[in-house]
Amino acid sequence: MILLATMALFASCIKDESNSILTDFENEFGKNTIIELEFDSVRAGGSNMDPFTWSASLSPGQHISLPIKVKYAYPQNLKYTWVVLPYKAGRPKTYQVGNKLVYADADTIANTKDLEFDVNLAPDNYQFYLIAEDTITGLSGSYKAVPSFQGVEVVQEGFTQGLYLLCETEDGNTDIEIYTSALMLIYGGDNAYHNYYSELAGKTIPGKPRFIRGGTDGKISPYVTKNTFVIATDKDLYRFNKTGMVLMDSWDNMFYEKPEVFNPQKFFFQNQCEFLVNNGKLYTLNTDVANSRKFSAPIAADVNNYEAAPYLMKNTMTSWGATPNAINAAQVIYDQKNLRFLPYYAHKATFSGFTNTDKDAYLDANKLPANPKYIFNGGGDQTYCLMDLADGMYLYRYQFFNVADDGDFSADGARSILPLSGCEDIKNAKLFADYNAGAAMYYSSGKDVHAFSPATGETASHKLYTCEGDEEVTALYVMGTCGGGWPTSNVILFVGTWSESTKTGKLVQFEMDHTTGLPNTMWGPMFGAGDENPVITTGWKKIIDMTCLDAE
Amino acid sequence: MKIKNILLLAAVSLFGLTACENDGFYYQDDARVRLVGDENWTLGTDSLELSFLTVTGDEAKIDVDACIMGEVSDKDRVANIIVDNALTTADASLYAVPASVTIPAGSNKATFQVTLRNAEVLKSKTVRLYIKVAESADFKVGVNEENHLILKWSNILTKPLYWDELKEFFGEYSEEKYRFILKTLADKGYDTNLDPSTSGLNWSDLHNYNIVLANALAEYNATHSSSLVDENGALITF
Repeated sequence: MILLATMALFASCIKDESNSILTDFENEFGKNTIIELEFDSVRAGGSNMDPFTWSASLSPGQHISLPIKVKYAYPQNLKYTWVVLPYKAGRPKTYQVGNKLVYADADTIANTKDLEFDVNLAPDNYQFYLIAEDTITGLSGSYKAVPSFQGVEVVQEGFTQGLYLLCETEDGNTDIEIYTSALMLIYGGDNAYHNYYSELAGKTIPGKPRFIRGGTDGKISPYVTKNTFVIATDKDLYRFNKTGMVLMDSWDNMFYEKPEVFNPQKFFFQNQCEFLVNNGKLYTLNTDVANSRKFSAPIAADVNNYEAAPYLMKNTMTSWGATPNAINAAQVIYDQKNLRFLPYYAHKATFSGFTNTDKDAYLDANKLPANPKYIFNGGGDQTYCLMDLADGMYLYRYQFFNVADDGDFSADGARSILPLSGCEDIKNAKLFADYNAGAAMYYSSGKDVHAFSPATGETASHKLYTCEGDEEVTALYVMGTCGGGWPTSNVILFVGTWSESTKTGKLVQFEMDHTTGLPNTMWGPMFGAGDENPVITTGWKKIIDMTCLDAE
Repeated sequence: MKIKNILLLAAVSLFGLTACENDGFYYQDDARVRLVGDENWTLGTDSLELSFLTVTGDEAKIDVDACIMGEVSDKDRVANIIVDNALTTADASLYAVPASVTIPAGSNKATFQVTLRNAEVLKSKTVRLYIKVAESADFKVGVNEENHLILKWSNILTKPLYWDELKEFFGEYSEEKYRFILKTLADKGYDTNLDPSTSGLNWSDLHNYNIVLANALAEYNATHSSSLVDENGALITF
């Protein structure tokens, strides 16, 4: 026994060298036993060339180039494997097999350090990993290519990205045309897709157009994933899948109880909830919980006594950088019946109310002096009210986003009320650009387009666009953020016009400084879109509304 | 083998002759009537239970079929229906039953209505009505299992065991609140089975109920002199 024990001790000493090998790595890179992998922005031509940083989605057939930089003492020993696997909410996707959950299998797509890949994956969300393994020591390192928590979405073929123009046809029905421009950057340059819907579906959408906005397919998601278009005409309300514009729902099956009066006025999807204002009532569809993709009964108020204006806030709840005790309502509506704003909290059946207005408040959110002529989002997260009062026109600016209810919702102190006497044609204004992230207010009476900015201190408006002949302005649209900090986010204003005599629509694209409300030629030349500002395209149908799903 | 076949044939023939011996009752010669309640309520049973909590109004009309056993006839025939008072606990004011039902020529059944009425007393007890077929000139009484129908009804409420799962949508339980919920949903044509485990209702379905009820309560409070309160005097809210 003693002999055997002694031999065993010797044996263990003989092999005891592996750890010292690992700690002895040393060459011109220094002591380095960690394999570090990262995107090689130098070889790629800039950090913004990483397709996974900026793209929310990939299309089948799209080519991905991903040069990789390696820091390791013995790179010549490394063997590389690129794998891709279905991904959801920060981890590999799981499937129910029998009575247990199993992870999805990973697919190997390359055995090279740099990735050159033609996307051939089925529609889903994916994470891409590069695994590098030292074939001598067995050490390994990995690189997660997609920074997004949910992975990158491979979209089904059939979705054309761009600015969707909701147009009126000559026979009084609705069609969709699509515009992309170099300034919009991620859509591959200047393109026009005329008669997009009618050519796809073989028919137009019945009724005259009212509005188009991004919606959801009802699947439970912790994210705001806009993958449908909600389109209202004067005859029906529709939900189309963005892929192939397949009709999913119409007015008759969109509600638990179909409203008696058809009058869709405003729609917006935000914070996992679709909001619809129909004939003065607010309807909701929550997508963070199990749902039947139907709008609820109208949200209740005291004695059912409210009439919602066609206004819906974009920026509502926030957890990032939240002000202590912020109201954090899921939505705030304006009640035309009682001249007041009403907060609505997520998952509630009824509206709430604000506390009594402070006596020193500049603006009263509980009792306005009159119903605003128009309400819209401006200044990113402010509520702009155009007031037509006895002594003139005024702009009232409220702030309901990320503020505590201290009895004063004035957005900008004493400057929350601004006279608009210097604003040309404001009295007749009927078109406004909603959801502007900048302070500027764009408006039109149908004739010409004007801008006024509360941020500059100026008291007069600027004329941005002058109509020619019988040309009339039919739509204004501010293109919002196109995925995080995309360079040309929030710099574009689109103006749609129509000439009855020539039966021709025009789309005017301005690169703007949305803070001052003045044209600003900066990103266009920088990103190869040229220095022409505005860029005007013609040959469109009569544009009544527009939206870009990625940039609402 | 041959002998075996002959013996088997003889045995079968004898059995056949025996079977013919007691033959003599035919429904066409001796027509009878049986009662069949609404399939949704009574399938597989001889009784029907109803709660006025889920009924719109204070009367419920229950369809009952009087089905003939036998051949159809080329003339109208009358079946008599009576109440068995010994097996009935409901006061006569709480129901109405026709004394007879005519089964038209060429038809094998006729439908008649039994009216059940709501009353204050039903909030504390269930009552029963036992109706049965009585022999008439045209029909004898049918088979025991279907010669009668029992109807039981009340307006009694008990807290559902699954209320905890509904609390998120409807708040704290009270009998008056639950009564209001069931009545409102029934009036609007919604399913009143609120048990999430059997109804198939998802979160949004129940949330919609919540909003429907909030609107109904607002309307109630606006159209009544005082707001709706529960059995303890507390304001009902959603």
